[in-house]
Amino acid sequence: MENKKAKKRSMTMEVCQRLARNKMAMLGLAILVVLVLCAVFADVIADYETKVVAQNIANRLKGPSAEHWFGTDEFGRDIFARIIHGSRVSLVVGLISVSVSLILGGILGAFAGFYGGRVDNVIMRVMDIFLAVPSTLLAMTIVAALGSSLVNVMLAIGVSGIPTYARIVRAAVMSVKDQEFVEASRAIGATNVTTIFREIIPNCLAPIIVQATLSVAGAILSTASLSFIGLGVQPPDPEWGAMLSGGRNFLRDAVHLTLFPGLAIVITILALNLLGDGLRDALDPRLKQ
Amino acid sequence: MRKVLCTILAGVMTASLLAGCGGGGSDQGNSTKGSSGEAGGSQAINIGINTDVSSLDPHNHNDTASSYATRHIYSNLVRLTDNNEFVGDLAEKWEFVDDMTVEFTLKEGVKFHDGTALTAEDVKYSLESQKESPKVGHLVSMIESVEVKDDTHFIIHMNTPSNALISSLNHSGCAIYSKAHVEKLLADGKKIEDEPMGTGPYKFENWTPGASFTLVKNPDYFDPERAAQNDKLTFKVIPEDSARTIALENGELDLLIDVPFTDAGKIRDNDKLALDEYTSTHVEYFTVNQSKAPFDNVKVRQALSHAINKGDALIASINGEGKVFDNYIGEAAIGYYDVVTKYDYDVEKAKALLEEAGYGDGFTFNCYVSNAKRANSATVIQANLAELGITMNIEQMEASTFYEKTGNSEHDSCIAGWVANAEPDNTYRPLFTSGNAGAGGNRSFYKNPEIDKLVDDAATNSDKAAVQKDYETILKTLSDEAVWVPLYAQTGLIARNADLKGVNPSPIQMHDFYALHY
Amino acid sequence: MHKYVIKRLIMLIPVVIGVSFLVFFIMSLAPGDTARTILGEDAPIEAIEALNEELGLNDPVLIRYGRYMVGLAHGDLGTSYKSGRSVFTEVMSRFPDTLKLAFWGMIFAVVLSIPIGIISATKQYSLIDSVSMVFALLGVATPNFWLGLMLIIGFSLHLRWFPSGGSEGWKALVLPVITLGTGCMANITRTTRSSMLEVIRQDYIRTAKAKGVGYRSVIYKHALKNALIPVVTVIGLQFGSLLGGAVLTEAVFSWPGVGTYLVNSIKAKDTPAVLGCVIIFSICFSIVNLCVDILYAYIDPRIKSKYK
Repeated sequence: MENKKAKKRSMTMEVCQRLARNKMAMLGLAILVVLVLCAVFADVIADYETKVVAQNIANRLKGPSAEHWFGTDEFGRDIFARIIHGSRVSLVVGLISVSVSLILGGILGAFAGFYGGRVDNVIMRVMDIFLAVPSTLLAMTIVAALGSSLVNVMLAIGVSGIPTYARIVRAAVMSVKDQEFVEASRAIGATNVTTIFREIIPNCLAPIIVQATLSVAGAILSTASLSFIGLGVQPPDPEWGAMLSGGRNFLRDAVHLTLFPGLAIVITILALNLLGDGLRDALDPRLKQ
Repeated sequence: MRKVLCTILAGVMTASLLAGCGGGGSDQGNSTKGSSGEAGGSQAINIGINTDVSSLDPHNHNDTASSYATRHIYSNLVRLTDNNEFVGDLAEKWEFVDDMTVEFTLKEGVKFHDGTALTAEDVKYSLESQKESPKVGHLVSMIESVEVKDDTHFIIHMNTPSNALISSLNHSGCAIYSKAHVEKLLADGKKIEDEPMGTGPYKFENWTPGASFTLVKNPDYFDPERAAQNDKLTFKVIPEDSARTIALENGELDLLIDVPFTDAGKIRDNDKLALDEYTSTHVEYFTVNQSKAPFDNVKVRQALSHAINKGDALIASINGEGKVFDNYIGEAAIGYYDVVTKYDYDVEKAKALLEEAGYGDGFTFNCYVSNAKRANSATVIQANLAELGITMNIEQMEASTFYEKTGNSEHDSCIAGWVANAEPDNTYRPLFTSGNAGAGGNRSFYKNPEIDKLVDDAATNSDKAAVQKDYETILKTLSDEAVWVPLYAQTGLIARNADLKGVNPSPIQMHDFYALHY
Repeated sequence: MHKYVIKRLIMLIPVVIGVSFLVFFIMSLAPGDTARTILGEDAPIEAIEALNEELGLNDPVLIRYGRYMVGLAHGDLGTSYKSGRSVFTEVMSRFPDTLKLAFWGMIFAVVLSIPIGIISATKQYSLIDSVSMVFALLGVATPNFWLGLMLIIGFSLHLRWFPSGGSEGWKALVLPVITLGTGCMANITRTTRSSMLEVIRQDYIRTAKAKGVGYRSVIYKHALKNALIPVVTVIGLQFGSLLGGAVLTEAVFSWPGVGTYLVNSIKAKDTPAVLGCVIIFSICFSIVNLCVDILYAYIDPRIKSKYK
């Protein structure tokens, strides 16, 4: 038992070391750390009451200046302050909704792929039902039904992502479950659940991590899409997707309304992807030797 | 091969990004009308609208977009002139025999698109079958029966005295069908909208749901002064705001009805385009639910009236394309009188009134809105009220949800809009009478027996001066009690190719397009 | 194999029932005054009540669902609350346009993404790899409605190469297809690359190389075939997001497809219309997934052996 723990710790160390050697992944991590710091210290950087929600209609749609680094929006609010505070919303929406779909979808997919047969059939047919409804539309219907709010948006995006993970995990499990190390694990008497979580899942983490990094991006974009059709977070909360949609009527006159929130999204996703790729390389069991 | 693909990909993406960055410039579309039609106009005139037709059967719709089609395919007995007067369209004349009986004479020689002549039987058939329609039946609920005297004479018997009969007959729902044509369609198991056919200046050609519909000139139209001046009209449905403006700028459209407010300036600045502005009967308002405390307190409502900066709401929601408003019915509407009490933007007054009412420390409530434009107004109001220590939580939802929730009195306040039509009773009754509190349209839950009586009297009293007095009293009372905070009246906007002639905007959005031509 | 396909086609029936159940009950959770939405703001309350009665909206959810299922069992998708027309006719008149958009969007994505993914993987850390990965990242990161608007401003307003909307002719197809396909293309490129990288490191590839098999042959015969499994999965899944993404793309480009119809129906709480669209989508999508599973069998003999 003690031995096993020690072995695990050394594995984690090994992964970290490999990750640390990957410069791009470190860049991604650095950006994410900055973003998290922005989210944590948002109130210190820009006061919510006086900068984020206070309006000044006379000063609306102004381009970037020394006073307003990213310019002002259609209410004359400071876009920089709103983006800083928006990092909270976007990171939370992205992480929670993806966790929901990853955990639920991953478990379902692993069982379906591992057991096959009837279990596979039942799980995948239920997934087919969810999957048959395009995820944007499923999310739309759920938000329309439950009402627009941050929690419902996260829930809707999370639920609509479940089948994606179920299928990917299932496909991955199916492709590794006949390999020697799984058979070996069974041969030494490991239970099915142990086999799934100890042997199979770690060995098909790569596609899941790649997909998860993309999904956080997808979740942030889905939020934007929901905002685009009027089903996002409620005003005056700053949310990057909502800022993007709110500025779309000013694309031609005041491009900074959509440019900066758009860049915020792009940078966040870029960082997530760089880190995800790095993790994939670091986690790959075949790179151990 | 690989390099080529990479290059193509990179090229496409770079181009799109560069194109995007270039978007900030002030490049104006140098619009050219494709091969603009000569006199007589054989070229189709393309008209941009933002929503699709819901039905081409006048009895099966009650929306503006569908009426653009049916008002030109069908005719009504009466029509509304630019001076807000009702004159005969299919009807030559009419006369009130008594409060409940009206004698009509039809014009001679009116022909349907299939060449058959219009008779009083067609009118009887149309109006009586309209009563069965869930969508427009209510417009003719006062009609008891139609009695045909001969081919051109008939009598409408009413079941109650009503001032709304003539104005209703002008509504697109009261279009006149050909009895023989409709009966044949129904006998064949078809629907009226499968082959819409009437007496209007344009004939139906085709409809691609979600995309467009086309009307062609009716050469045998009965009224030469109002005959179609162009051979073809094509209405194109373009839901996205900026795409609609661009379609006009690059000549895909000749006329744009639903002009995006943020693009009005661009159209004004473009020499190739023209922007027609007209006063509409649209009013945008903020209202509180008076069945709930503290909004049952008139001082609180007056405080809100003083606290809200209407000018900011006007700019934030429609880019300033309108004017701040204090009345409860649009300026261009029949039934508008400038008699209301006005509340200026005065935070100190608002604070004092709140203190008097005992809410000096503020309170928290929700505000329901059903679209982005109203969410913007709400965001301004939210910031205004925050200065008084009042917290307003905005909840934006779909229109159907909004109707349901506000109908059930789940809201504390909401923002809504109203476009008055040609009959003032259709505005005053749903919005302000007790019987319509909630789902009926009175989302303020304002209940005042005096107002109910005045609305009833105005609807039936045949003395025009008395009706005016009724409406003036209503408006005065509503504004004294600060039932709404009227926010702004938006300017009606129609944009077009500068060379296009014959645009005739209607304040109630019942635009006529027969005169369009180059 | 035939047996398997027939079995899967029969399995569509429970999927359709499940989808209709799921959507019907989500829709019934949503509060909404359907009659008011249809009749407009100025209709009197009596007309609203009469219409709700006529549409059977006053009955309990289970009774309405039962009634719907009875119709469905007879192949009847019901009548739209809003237009009073047959839902089947309404959806089918718009479906070809949406399918056309999704199909060409997918072709655009696949034709570009798989070669780029392979090149990136085989030349890992090269300039081509970095450039295409940066573009793939941007492709994923760009909201498609924003991209659509940018394309309209660039190619329709400034350059005047393509129309800003409508669906007439191939020119009208170009911008919507790029808008719709870009996100998808980026996803497939990334998956192809990561899957290729993984396969290249497998022992059998090393063995093949060691045996002296030519480089191209290793990549295209041995590696690609094995790397394609996750790629095919992603393509199958992306088809669903294409149908979903079509909603926004259709809105931006005024494309008269099912997406716009569906959004309007959801907003109006037109339950039969929503169900009709979703059922048609689900059948279409299930068939695509069936094709994906059959493709697996061709790509991976180990999986094929299970179908026997």
